Amino acid sequence: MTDGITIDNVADKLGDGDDVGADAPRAGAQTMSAEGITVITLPAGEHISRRLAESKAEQARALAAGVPRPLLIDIRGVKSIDRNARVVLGAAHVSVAVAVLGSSPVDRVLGNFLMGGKDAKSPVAFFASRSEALAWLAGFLPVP
Amino acid sequence: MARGLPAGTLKKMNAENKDPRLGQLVDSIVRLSRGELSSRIEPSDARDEVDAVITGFNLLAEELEQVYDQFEKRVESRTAMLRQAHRDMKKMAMSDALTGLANRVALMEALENALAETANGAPPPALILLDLDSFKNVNDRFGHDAGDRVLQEVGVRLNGVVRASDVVARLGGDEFAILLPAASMEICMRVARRALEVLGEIIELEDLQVHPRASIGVRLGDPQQSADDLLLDADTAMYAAKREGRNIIKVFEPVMQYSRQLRSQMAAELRAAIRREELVLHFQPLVELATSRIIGLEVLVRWQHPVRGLIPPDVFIPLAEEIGVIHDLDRWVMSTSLRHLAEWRRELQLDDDFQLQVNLSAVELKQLDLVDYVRGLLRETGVPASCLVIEITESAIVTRGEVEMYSLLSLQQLGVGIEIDDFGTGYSSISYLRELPVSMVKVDRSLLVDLDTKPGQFGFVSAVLQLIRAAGLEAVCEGIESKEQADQLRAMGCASGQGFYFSRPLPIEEIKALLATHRYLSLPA
Repeated sequence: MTDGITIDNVADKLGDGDDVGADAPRAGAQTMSAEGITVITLPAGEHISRRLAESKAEQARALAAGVPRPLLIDIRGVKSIDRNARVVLGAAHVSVAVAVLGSSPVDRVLGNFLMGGKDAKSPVAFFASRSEALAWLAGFLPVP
Repeated sequence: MARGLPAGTLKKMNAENKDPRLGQLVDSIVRLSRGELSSRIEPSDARDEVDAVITGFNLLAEELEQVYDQFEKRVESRTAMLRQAHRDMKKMAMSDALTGLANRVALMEALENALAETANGAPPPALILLDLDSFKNVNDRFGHDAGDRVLQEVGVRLNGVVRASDVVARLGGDEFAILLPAASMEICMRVARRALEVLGEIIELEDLQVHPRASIGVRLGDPQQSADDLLLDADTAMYAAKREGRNIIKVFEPVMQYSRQLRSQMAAELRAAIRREELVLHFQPLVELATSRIIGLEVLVRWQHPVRGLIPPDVFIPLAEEIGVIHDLDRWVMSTSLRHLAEWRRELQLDDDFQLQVNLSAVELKQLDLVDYVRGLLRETGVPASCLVIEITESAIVTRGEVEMYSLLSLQQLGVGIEIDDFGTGYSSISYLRELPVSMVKVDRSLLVDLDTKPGQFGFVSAVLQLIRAAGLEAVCEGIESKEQADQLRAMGCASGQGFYFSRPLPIEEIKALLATHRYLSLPA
């Protein structure tokens, strides 16, 4: 996997999420979804610093074991993501595809800054619905 | 829209019918406009559109701060690069590309600074000028690459004899300078002596050895003096050193200035003298030793100065070379003397082998039209080429330049005789002379000085003459002053010679009268 992916997640099952972002599952053991989608959840109510981003990236690398996978970054409720943290998380673009999940207008602004400009190396999209995000990412999973 | 806002905020908003976060945004934008790029707003927990705008504001401000910061750093680094480039350019403009030493501009600037320091009570600066004594030979003989390497080595050596505060500069060509700020005559002489010492040591460059040696002029500055005057004085002293024999140090004295002025006045007069025909020719008979027959004449030039009288050639020939009029002088001598010879050949009964020996400078030998000029003169005067002998010094051909060799070979083909003058004083070896188109060698007078008295000198001169003959060359001895010398040389097998014993150089009327009446000289017993 890539540097800078912070994984904080939950065994999500495809289609198992709901559309109410703020109420969706946000905590649990850090693992990967059974379907091979990596889900990163940034802690709500916190300022995301580079340090925090990097520590999560470290976990992500361990979980992904070097295989490029679709990635979901859940930013719902975070206070801010500073520039250096954005650089770390932005490097996740080398994943096969990245979905950024947010619910409020603030999330939308933060999410779009996180996704960066036009020069993303892999498909990136913002979603307000977890299930839509996971469905979109499922399209990038390798055909069994 | 306001759903989720803290109760207090809502109450406030309701009371003023305005969202207070909008006011915060306005304030922050104002702060931003003042350059406070660190200005941020804490979004509320409402996370509504206003908070989204606040978040966007924060993110944009952060970006702006970052870009500004990077821009500042870039400006800083570019400014540093620009300053460095400026320093490099200045260094280039102020330094000599070949040696890395200061150049003339840098020297003059340092000199002016050092003179300005005297106003604050500092001792005056001293300037040492150095001119390599025979650098031209290095270039001519070994090429410019070798010359450049010699100059670089000289720079290194000079840098090794100065104090950290001193400036070593190359002024151009083979001329160097050392500026000693706040100096005394003692310091200055110490540095000058050390410079002379290190330049006295041979420079070994792969397969060539060069004696750099320099003539050094020293001037301890005067606080009221300008940098230009100081440089001129040091230059005057250096020229005095050069004239006085090279490889020495001369300290500037006001009288030198007078002598320099006199010299420059003389240079102007000499130029005019050639035009006005103030130069006169004298002729010294060349005699067959066995019979005392006059077999030719050596042409000698004198300067009949309207005020100073007759000036000998050793005074004005070097000056003519220095100021570049030697070419005109040589040609004047050649054409005038050949016209005289043509006249005598018509009017007097000269032997068919009667020869005129004309001196030619090294500069003249380098003239591409020399051969055409001589051919034209011979044709015009009707003098056979075999009646003309051109005398050149060893140093004129030691470099074996292409043009010189061309001139010599062409003159020889024309039938003109070539004679090496002053043999025994320069560099030539007999085997070297054999490779040149030379037919005669004139043995220098210095070899005859102790012929009668110095033990072994007779044998030595005899061996030299034998060697010359063995090389297939003809020997002529000059400076014969006594019958004994003439007899001894004749006994050694020397065929011809000249000197005061036979005749001093004579002015035109006297030589004409002599030639008209004498085929043989009547000599004192």
